[in-house]
Amino acid sequence: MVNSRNIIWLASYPKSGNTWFRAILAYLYKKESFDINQLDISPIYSSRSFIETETGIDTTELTPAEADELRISVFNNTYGNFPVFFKIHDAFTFLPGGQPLIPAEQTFAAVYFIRNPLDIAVSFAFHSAKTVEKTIENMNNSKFTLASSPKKYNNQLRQILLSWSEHVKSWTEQELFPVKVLRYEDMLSEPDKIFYETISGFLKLPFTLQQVREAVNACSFSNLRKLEKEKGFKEKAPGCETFFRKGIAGDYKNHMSQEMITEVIQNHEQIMKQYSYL
Amino acid sequence: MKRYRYRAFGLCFESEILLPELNECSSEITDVVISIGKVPNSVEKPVKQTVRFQLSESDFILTVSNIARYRVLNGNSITVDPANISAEDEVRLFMYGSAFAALFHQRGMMPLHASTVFNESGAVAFAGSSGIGKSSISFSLIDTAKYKLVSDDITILDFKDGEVSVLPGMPHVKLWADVLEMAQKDTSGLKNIRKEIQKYRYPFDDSFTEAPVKLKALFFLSSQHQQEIKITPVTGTEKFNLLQNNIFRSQFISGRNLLEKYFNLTTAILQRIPVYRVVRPRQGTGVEQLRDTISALLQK
Repeated sequence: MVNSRNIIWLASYPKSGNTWFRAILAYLYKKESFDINQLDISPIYSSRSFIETETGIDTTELTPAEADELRISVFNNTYGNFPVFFKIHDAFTFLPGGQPLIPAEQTFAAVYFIRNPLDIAVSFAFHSAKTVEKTIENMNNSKFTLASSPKKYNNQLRQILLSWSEHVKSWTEQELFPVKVLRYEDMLSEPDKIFYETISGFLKLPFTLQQVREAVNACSFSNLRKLEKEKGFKEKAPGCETFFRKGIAGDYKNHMSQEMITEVIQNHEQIMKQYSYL
Repeated sequence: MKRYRYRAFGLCFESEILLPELNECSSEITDVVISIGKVPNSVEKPVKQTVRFQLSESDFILTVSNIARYRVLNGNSITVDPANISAEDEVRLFMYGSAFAALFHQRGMMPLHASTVFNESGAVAFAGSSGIGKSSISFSLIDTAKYKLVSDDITILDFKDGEVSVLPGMPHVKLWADVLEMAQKDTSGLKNIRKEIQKYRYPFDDSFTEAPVKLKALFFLSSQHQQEIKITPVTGTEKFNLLQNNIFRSQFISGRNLLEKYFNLTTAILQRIPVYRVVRPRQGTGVEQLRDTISALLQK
């Protein structure tokens, strides 16, 4: 058994502020060479490449279930030194054999990014070049997955997201390691305070308020947008125009009918109330 | 026990296992023996050890859970210890990939992550990471532009008498269902690599070379968010790094001796072969456009 708790998870449903936080971390750790196309300090857990390097096995020739088993086996040995960051969009679930999807015993903590599901529906629709209606349907679907087509190559492993509400619960209600929930809307209104409390207070990373402020300024939404415009952003999905689109709260009002809004609220009322979205 | 003889990557294999994906070998000299047997738990004095493989300069053990364990020894033997006797397809699949890669490294053959096709003017190799389209462009050139196959996914370059040739690999290309659909190919007569995965072996028994083919050019494929295909000739250290970064299963390289050998081989190859970097748009252009752009460049 491995006892060192080195791993920090940056967990979220897509389009909830995860990449913004990752950009700030990248700036804090690699200020001199900061580049939005090099956020490799926090690779995604579903990336095939780190598993293949560790195991020497072509994961495209494995079933999704086998690939999940293979990935968790990588953590039978201690993985890296504190802090190891992983971005993750998978819901926190358990494999058929009963073990958690992620190495809980090597986990220091998780930061869970939550955002108003009404805004996610719009942002995620733009991101994946789907309609808002289809996106709402996916967010309601307990079986929703990413990268699960058995017909084509995907550079990521299959990710089980569950419904949006189930995704939130899966991470925030598990008791295997501490989780701090960050509301995207709070990150927007009080970035210095929220990021400093999380980075220094919760994650115990060695950065001062001054340093966090500087990173927040460098990674303001308008700066990230500008950098994307100048150099592109490799984490953008092919079908979408820009990754850093608006980044505001409440944009759903410009894109959703009353019926759509009602549908989202009906499906996610409990969690929306719990996190003050209703 | 009956033994079968096969030829691939310039080697003659004598195998206890039936390997229907490979062509027969008529030579009487055996380079590699493939047998079924017990694989020990560990390599003696390993220089590298992860949860799934361990290796020294001459020994390598890989575990693919619920399928098989593989041992590659002295560059001339592969022992297969199947976990599931009925999973024959799977047992062969991971042998052709990772175990073969370890074999090539033990023999100092510097496998490249590349697919290679040829016509009367020579061979062209397409290198790049998984999913970038190496097999798709090769398939397209064979299917529609009168090229023939040298090797898919793993390319072995042979440097002899001042010439660089590519050794024939296996007589098929592995393709995902979406690529075959776009090329309007019926998959019903094809065999998928595993039941659950819609990646198929497309056989090229008649469009495959039995002999090494002289290499004419090396293309390194990558993609970016952009509108047009960009092809640029590469020189100097960039050329060197591209080749080194596309060594197949470089995590199986045992140490400095092999690295030095690959360094020298890379230098020798690059002195003779033109290298191009090909950047594809992430979306919007199909394989046909890439094929036409590359064909036009090769005809110049």
